[in-house]
Amino acid sequence: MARMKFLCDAERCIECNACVTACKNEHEVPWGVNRRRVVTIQDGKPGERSISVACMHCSDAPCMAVCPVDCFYQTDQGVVLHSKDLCIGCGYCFYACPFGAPQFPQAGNYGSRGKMDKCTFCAGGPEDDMSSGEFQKYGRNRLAEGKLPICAEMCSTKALLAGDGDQVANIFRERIVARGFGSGAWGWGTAYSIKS
Amino acid sequence: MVRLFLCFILYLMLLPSSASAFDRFTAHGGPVRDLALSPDGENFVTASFDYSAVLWSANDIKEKSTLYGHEAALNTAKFSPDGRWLATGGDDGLIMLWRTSELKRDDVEPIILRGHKGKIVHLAFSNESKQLASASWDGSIGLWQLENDPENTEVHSRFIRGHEGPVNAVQFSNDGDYLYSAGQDGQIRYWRLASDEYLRSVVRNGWSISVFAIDETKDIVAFGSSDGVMSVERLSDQTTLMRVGDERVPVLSLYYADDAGVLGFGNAKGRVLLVDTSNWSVIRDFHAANGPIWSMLLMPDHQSLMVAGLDDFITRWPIYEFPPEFLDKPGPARRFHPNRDISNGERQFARKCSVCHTLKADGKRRAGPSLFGVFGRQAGRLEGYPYSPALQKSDIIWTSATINRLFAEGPDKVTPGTKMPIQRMKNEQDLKDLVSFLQSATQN
Repeated sequence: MARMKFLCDAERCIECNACVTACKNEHEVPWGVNRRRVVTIQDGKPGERSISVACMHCSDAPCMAVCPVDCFYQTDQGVVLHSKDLCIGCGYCFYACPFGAPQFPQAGNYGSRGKMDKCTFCAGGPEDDMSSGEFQKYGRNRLAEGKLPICAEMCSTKALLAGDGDQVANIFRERIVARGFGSGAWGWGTAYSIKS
Repeated sequence: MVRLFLCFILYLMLLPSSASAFDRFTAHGGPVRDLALSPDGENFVTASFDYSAVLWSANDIKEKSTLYGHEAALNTAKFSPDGRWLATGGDDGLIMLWRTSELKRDDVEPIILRGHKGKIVHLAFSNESKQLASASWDGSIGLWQLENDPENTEVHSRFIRGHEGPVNAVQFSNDGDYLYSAGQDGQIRYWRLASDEYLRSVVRNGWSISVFAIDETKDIVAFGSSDGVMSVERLSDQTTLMRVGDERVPVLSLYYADDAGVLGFGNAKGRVLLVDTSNWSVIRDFHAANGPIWSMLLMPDHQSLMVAGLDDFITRWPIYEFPPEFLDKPGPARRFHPNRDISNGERQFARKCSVCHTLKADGKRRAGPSLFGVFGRQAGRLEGYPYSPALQKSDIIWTSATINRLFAEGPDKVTPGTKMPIQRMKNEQDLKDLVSFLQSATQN
């Protein structure tokens, strides 16, 4: 079974935000929630870089470690998902996540306390695959449809890669050899340093 | 040789033992999110997941009173500089103003400030105690005018929007005419309050800024961010004075004690870094918890540090005396993170319910009522627990069938108006095992 991973090549990201828009459109994400966003570091200074960021589906996910109600689980493909039925919206996962992935809609969107929302690697949630209930709570289950995440598919510079971690790593390794400089894979080590 | 041996024994006896390196104090029945010291240094307050704030004496660390009012977890508590008010904010989107002169009374009624549409995660008073600012995950900054007597006149409020995403922290300028705010958009923004106008960003970090402190007099800004950076910059020109953090572990707490010359950072993996602000050298760098450090407080003696996190207890560390290695063994297992072999029903309770409920008759303080003897009990009738009005009027009798229905359909459907978070258990076997476990574990 493939271990799914994201990789954002900071040398290629041009901050076009197509990944952000594609994600919101594909999953009909409510206003105020950005499952994916583009972070710019060293803004306006030498060394400025942009990085497309969402849940990285970490091998040793810190969100799972702090959750007081056990709402997270990891699929056999390594995708970290959560149950909005169990989530109590405490926000502890937001503080634990080095990528700022968990999002909290305003009151009323998912119940009075605001259930957490985050990137699902386009893998839905605990509801039946491709059911209307799954789409309503978690968005489209593209993995069940045999497709990869829409954000990476839409990336015009192929800065954002998603898929089998070994294949993603091989593609990136070839890039590094070809261009001869800079790793640029921000967050890869943080997310996947512990092998699953 | 014998003399040498005796000297060695004496040396071992004089070494501080790891057991006495720190002291733990428990009053809450849930994680503790914030600590705040009163201006006179006599008391401090803790804000907890268990829907309560506790007032402690700072001298002997004794619980003085418990404040109930919020209908959800508390995230923040702050005293006004004039010592008149204690403000608390929580997941219910409410701010409560408590008169400090009445904190020891059981029937103290707070003034409730409404307007936010998301959880409130940080509060700050202006130096003159005439304004209160609130940071909310609804993406806005709340400004509450306290110059007129809040007890007799309605508190005027307004909301500033500008951050892209949640606002995590706020602080007034020394004169109260300007405001600084930090957010998930990675910026510390600077606002003119006369016009609520965004002037500039004093920090552009990219990654979310969770905590910050600004000292305009000394021209410094200190902040901690989600990518693990603990940084101090010159406020006027952003020259870096200190920068630590290659671990990419989110920084969650910051404590700036100007009078003691100490700056402290705490991160999501329990690391505490204390810095001497005279030369930005590290005083102490140690692990104070197995989990996040959400808040820290330099005690009035300036010799000890109180830290709070995912546990029910708060921990006091003597800054200058403890052995530097600290936690050579893990701390006590949390009830909601069990690490022993248990049945599926007990595991479901431990992992999904125990953060809010206890099974014991003595009913330790929790966000929810004790489940001891719950079968056959009428909903909303356990003496001593502050139920919501909706539950007090409920005619539900808790049985296997009604508890099953509660988690199959959700508390919002079965007990509308309840303070209980909306939880449903879709896995029928897990629910069956949970109810079966509760039947045996809650019996009289």
